[in-house]
Amino acid sequence: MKHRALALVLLVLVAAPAHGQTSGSNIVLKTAWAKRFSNQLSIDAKMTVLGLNKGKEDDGDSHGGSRQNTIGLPMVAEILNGLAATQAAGRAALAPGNNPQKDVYGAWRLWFEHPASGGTQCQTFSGSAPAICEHQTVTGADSNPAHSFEIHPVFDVNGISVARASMVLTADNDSVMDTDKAFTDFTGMHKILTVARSTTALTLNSIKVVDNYVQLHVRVTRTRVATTRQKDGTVDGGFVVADVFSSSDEEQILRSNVRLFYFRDSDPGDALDGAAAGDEFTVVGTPRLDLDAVLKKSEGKKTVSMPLPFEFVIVALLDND
Amino acid sequence: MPGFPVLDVAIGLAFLYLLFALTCTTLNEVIAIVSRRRATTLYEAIAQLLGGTGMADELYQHASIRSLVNPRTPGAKPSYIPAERFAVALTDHITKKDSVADPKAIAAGIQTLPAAASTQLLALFQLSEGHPVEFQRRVSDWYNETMDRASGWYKRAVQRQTYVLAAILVLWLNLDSVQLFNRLWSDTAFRTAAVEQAKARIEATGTAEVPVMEYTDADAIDAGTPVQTGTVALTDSETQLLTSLGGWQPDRQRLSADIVLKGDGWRVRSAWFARSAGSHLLGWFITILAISLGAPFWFDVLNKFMNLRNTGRAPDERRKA
Repeated sequence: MKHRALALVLLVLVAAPAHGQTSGSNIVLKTAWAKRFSNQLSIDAKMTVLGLNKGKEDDGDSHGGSRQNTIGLPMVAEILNGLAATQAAGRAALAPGNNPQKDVYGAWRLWFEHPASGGTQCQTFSGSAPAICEHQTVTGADSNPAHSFEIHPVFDVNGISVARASMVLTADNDSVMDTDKAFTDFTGMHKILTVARSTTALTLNSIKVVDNYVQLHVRVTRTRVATTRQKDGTVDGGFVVADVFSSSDEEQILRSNVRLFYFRDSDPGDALDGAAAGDEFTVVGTPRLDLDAVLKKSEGKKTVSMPLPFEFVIVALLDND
Repeated sequence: MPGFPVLDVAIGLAFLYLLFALTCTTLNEVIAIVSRRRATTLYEAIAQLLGGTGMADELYQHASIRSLVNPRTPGAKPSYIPAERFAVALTDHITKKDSVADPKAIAAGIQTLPAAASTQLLALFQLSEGHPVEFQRRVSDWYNETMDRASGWYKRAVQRQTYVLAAILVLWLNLDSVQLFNRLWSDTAFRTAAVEQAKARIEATGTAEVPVMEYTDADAIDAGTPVQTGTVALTDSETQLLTSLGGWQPDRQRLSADIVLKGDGWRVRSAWFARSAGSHLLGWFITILAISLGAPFWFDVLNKFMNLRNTGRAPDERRKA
């Protein structure tokens, strides 16, 4: 009888705290899609833009939100320095207007910055998503739905190039984070990515991660690997591998072997495309999930947890040593 | 698992509750699809927002709203309308043939609406100081606030339906928690079968936080629908486990014995019914409450019990696993 009572107590003790508990949010990706883009800078998408933000935001970006698109996820497309006069045509092209269907080309970005609270967003290309993914269509504003996928920065919208004017740091961007602070944010003890992998899908679970722009002082350790555009297979940029130095101690390497992606037709692209091993740069980067690391570390496993793997898309060149 | 009978009883009970809750979830989903409850709730909310079904019906005829439903399903209503689309459609409806950007047309159109809608919209128009864009933004916000409430109505309706379905299921199958607990405690084979199947379900489904998914179209990178593995549908062995619960059989046997001993008649049958119901009442009540907590809750609990069980394993058992 004592044991029976113990079983009941156990049930109540474990069950009670579980009620209403959430542990981060999930993104479900098609494995074939993740493999296709894990070593690429960019992606081409057709998206129905529902709304464009109106006022100025901390980072000076203009973002158009979408729930229907060829990526299959709720998403935003961000034009950097979106309120600058040089971006007016691109911003107008991204606004829903009379034809909200847009062709958008830019760097893909998976980052748990604006996730649906405690929910699951599933990449869905056709048919109806199951109930577990249901919330993905209903939360958040039209210009900024709950999302973890972005095209950020946008290089081109409806054939209008915005890349050059995007990839310079302007006074409009008040949100550039110090390296040490950002890396602390990315690598804290709770910044764990858990992956459940099946034959065809990856479910990625993480708590919210912040910091859109990070200032980095880097030393290239491996020269560029070219990346190609999805639409036509042309080389559109690449990535170098680099050591990232601490902002408080310039001798200390905070992290080695970080992939830095760049767009060729941009100031940072001009510098990094021809960079040699040992060259140092001070740049601004946008962090994103390192899908290549996710795929490699989850290979052959049903579930695996790992420190959040990240890489950067370089969006501004501050100094070229 | 001979070493942890207390824990295994708790696992078995949580697993059975999970199966009952999954059955209820399936029934709920079927009812939601057949009755188009999401679309109906949205329609009712919009009708309330606009002061009646007349204007809601007119708005639903707007091309941008009609485009949200499958044209092959006549009379179908959308399950979701983006806020900005609603605001544009409503403004267009108000201004009729005039431009949606014409403040005078908006003001004049509002006056022609039914009292309930015109009072609210006039207030929004005055607050927007006659700016059409600001007016649409306020209409979007107004719509979103109502949708938050509609979402609450929907959840409460589903919760009420879950109680009813749970009660039907419990009475039909005689799911008495006290009886189930006793059976799990005393019947080692039943307990072992329940624990093994719980393990199999967690392996197939992932954890509560990180579900395992698959895609319907495995080869293409840009096609397919995600499907959660092993969740709603019960496996053959799970169905077998549920059918082995016994249901009303022991009670029916008692009735047969009563009839043999005391003869058949309404007094004997009434006494049997009162005795049966009295002995099961508490157990039924607990089961209905447990089912109403939902499948995700019991999945989470089951996962925690399993983790606890794995932590407590002897080293040699861990190697075997």
